[in-house]
Amino acid sequence: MYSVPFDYLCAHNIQEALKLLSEYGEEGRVIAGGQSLIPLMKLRLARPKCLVDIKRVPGLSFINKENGHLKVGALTTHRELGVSDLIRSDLPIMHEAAQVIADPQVRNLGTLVGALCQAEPSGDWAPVVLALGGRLKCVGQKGERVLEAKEFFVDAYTTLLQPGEILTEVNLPIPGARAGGAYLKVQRRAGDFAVAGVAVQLTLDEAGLCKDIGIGLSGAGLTPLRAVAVEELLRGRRISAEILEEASRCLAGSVDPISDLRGSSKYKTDVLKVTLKRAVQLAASRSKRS
Amino acid sequence: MPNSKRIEMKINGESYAAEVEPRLLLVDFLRVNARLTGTHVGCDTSNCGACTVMLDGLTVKSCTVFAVQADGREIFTVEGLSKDGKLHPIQESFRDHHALQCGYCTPGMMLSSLFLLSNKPNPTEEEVRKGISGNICLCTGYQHIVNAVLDVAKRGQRQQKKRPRSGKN
Amino acid sequence: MSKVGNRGVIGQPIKRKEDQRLITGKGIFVDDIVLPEMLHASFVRSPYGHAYVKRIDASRALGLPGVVDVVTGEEFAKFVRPQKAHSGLDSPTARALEDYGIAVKKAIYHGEAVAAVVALDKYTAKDAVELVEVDYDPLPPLVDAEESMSDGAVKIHDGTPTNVVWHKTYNYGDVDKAFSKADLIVKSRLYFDRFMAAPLETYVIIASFDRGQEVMTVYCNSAHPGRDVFLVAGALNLSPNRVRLICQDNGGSFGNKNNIYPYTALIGYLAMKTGRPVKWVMDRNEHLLASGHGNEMIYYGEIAVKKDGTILGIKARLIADEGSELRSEPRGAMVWIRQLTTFYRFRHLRMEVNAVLTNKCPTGSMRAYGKVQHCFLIESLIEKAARQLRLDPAEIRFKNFILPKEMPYKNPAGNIYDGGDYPGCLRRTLEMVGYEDWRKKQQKLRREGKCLGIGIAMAMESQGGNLAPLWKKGHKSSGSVGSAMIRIDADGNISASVDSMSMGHSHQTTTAQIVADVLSVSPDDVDVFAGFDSWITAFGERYSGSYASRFSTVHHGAIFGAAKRMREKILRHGAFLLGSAVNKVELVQDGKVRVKGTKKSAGLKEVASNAWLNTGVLPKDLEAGLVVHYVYKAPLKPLESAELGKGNFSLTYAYGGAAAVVEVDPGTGMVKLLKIVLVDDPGRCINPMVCEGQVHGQIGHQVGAALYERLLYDKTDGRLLTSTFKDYLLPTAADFPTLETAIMETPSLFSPLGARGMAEGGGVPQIAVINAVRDALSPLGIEIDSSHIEPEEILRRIQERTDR
Repeated sequence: MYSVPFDYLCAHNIQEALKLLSEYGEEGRVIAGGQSLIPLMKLRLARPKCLVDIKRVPGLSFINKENGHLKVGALTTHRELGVSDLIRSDLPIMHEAAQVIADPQVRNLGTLVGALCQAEPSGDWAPVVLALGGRLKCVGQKGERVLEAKEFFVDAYTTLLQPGEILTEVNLPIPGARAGGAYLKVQRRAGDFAVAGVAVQLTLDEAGLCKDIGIGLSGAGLTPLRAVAVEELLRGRRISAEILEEASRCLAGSVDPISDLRGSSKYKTDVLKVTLKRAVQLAASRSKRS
Repeated sequence: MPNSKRIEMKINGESYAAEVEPRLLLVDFLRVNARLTGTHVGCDTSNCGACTVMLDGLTVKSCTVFAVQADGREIFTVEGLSKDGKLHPIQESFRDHHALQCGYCTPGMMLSSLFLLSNKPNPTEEEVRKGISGNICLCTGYQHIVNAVLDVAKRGQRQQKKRPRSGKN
Repeated sequence: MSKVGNRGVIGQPIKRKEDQRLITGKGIFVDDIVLPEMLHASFVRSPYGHAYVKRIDASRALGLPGVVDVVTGEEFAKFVRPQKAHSGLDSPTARALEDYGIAVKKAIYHGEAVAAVVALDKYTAKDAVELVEVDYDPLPPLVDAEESMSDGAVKIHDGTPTNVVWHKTYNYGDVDKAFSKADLIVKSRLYFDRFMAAPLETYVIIASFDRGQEVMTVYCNSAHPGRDVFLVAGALNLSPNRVRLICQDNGGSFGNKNNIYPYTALIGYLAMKTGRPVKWVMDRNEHLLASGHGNEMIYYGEIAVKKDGTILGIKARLIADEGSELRSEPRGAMVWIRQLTTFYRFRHLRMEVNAVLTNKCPTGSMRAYGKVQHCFLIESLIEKAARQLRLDPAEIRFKNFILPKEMPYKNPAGNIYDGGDYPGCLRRTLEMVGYEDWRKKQQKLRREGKCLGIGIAMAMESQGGNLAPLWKKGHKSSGSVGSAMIRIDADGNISASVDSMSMGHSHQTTTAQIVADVLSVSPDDVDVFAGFDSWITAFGERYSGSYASRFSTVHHGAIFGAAKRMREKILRHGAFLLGSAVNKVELVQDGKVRVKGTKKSAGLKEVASNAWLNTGVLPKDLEAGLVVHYVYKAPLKPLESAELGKGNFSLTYAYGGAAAVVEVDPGTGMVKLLKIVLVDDPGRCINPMVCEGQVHGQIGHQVGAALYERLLYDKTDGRLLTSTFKDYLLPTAADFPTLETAIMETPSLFSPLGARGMAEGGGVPQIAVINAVRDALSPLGIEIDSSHIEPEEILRRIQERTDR
């Protein structure tokens, strides 16, 4: 299996990358790790005329802590996130998710940003970034704009990123006191995409009520989803078996998984429901411990 | 060749240069251009790990990297493991534990094992299993591979104990 | 156990000879070979499960720079003769089959080749494949065997009267009478899912035609090279000695690479036509679509039992889904005759077999070929009967086992079991898994709402015979041969070869162990070169190759026989050299010949040198040189009746027991394998380290079949949905617990070294895992009727029960 022929251009700074991309328009694709794109190109399901490699652009690989946020650069790999002490201490949910993405080799090359741009509906990063309320910095020749993760994923494998734009940075708020997060992935086999994945990041107040909560879903529809209705339902409530039962019913009404080899729409919905309950419970128990 | 590009990379410390099509896979550069055929292709879709090599010290699947992406970088393959006819401890351990049968996955499997051990010198069995989870083996059921990797770690520890710490690392 | 030789290296866990080259990247697999001027082939394949090929337009492809030729199925059919592998079958459809390995007028499975492209490099070949325009006229695909055998079904091969290629009912004992005495009759419709052996190395072939000598040289990774010589020669209209087939390192087969031969003929033709060597490397997608699948089967089974668990008889109607062509088939559907009642003493059985064509990839040999399907039927029926009788699954098996003291035991079909301790094997399995403890734990966990299951299974694996007499009139015996050669050169270097292909089996090591043992030398002194070369290997005609665990039976016999003859030769030459009588000399350390009771001796080198070079002095009756070629035939008697399916079809009947513990997540249907143990009885281990490794591999493959691997066709368009490793899931190391295995050695009463085949084991881990899931779900009254379980199906069944 080999890709169709294409031009390969290596950018040395972001301006050069943007310029090259603008020349090719919709036929150009950015490549960093290539772990989503190259398999598709080899299957000839993706046939870009040109790849603009940004791997050698300096200053795009970082995990920085600034003003209560962690900022992750476009070239930061799954592995770098998985072994980062900052991530482990400040965003443990990301640490947890980084361990279950594909396999070690893919984690060595693949990037968080690449995964978000791919918008794989059964991927692992998108639900986590959604649950955390991440923001995405996109740079184009006309300037930069910051998008909310929850508005980023617009259709199957489609994002708000325009041709010629590059997502350069993911900005993630660091949860405060009494916060807890959990990413639970149900997979058929180690390293497979999720049948269903639920990321929950919540904060309990002193009385143990759910003060704030973000829930991101994988395997729930054409795109990664944020479970807004469920969040609203749980906000201000005590996490109990009853409320979780209600939450899972609410979830079922707000998802529409694609039927595929990982399961029918109904099955995925059922798995999302049970995984939601488990993930919220786990996040809540972690919050109590923090 | 249309759009061809001249690239050069170090493989096991030696320089290799060629004019290549951008779509040429790294694994083909290694096997066809450099004639290093120890790295194998198993699945074409980045799922089996038979083509695993190290790129600047990190394991990657060379069927999912274009050769042009590796321009100017350092590659390490199975052919680089033994030095001056002396087997690397991972090779010895694979042999001693009968961790290979047909041997097709073995080069990639050894490199993944090595990468795991470089990050976790004293892994648990579960960590070994996760560490090689990007490499499929049909022959062994993995048990002897897991045993071999654990034993390299154990042997390494014994060596460490035997050797008094010098000032240098 | 008879003592052989005097070094005792048989049975030692010596390190493998194969490893040095494989761990240093110096193995030579077919794709590593580059011939001068070599071209690269790639196939255009049908996107439809069933479609007429109306027109192929190759003009755009031929216009692409670097493309040398495009050859359509129709052109192949003009020059390549079709395989008619099973024309001996008593069925008009089977007789009519002409298998070109490529679609000629009609594509009959998704992924069937319809044309080949030849180009200067493999990338261009793939580009050209996209440019070949094929007009198809799609037909409704038949992916359901029962539908395919119905009267009105479209015929997969035009002009044939039915899609049923073989139908027969075999009766043993008086099954109706046995059923009339039953306290309980349990019925099941069972389904054996389609999966495959997916070795990491796909099919690779290089063909090169010498127009001067008219010799076709083929480098390939066949598992059955001796047979392929004949099949390829026949297809290309060459005499078999003009096909030189060479195999070296092989990246795994597990039966799969027995099915390469149709492609070998096609690539051979491309080499003939272009006049240049042609290489073809099958990609993984093609391998999943169009190499060889495992047997899929539907069964309607019934078991008659007494209240105490005594089995009285079994009735079954089998529908074997053969796919679109008969390659190894219908062997997989009839192989159960060789081990009819497996471990149990019941004598009454009726089996109706239907071998049916469907629009799917042809099936063929695969680890535990046909046996796992048969064992799954028997073990599933026993399991269900036990549940209904409220007997422990171990107890019902103990109740019915054939005992060691009854060996050799003749089963109702006349197969003669070659020894073994079946109850001992199960006892050992139960001990190893900690059966009683898990049962207690299970009670406790069930009260906590957890779904823990413990499954046991026994499975048998017959080998060392063949089934051809069942369909070929005139074959009176089911014997087969293995062939080996040993040569000692004038410098005393020992080379041995056997006509079996190693695909991870460790033949180089174990062959050397047997030879070394008999010749009193070190295994290091015995060179066994990897691979097969039909011009060099003294092969046993069509039988040669690695399939049906033959190495441990007929190939062992051949090597052992050759080594014993060589030993005689050395002694005779040594005696002559030492001026002694043959009965006065002995072979001692390092192959030295010594006059008994003296210090007078001659080294092997000295003996060899004299045998080869000093031939003028040799007496008339002493043959010069040290070369032995030995053909071993399994000591099988003529069959009682091929027509009735009676006789002993196998030399050895290997077996194993397995136990699995699983936890089912009632919320998701996911199955977690907590523990798996396997006890295998290969009769005698030549190298226990190798045996252990083989058994581990068996667990890996067969657990994969139960929980991960499945070949799923779309019922409406006939497309294979699991056509890359993204969807055809192979288990990783992280999906297994520590594998626990034990080897029992109850020597075979019939094979020369007491060895049986091993590590196919009738699919016992797969059945144990399924039984464990059945056990986990049994409190809910859920029966699992398939050999592979998807979490979704489990959850659906749980919901059905709990929603009531």
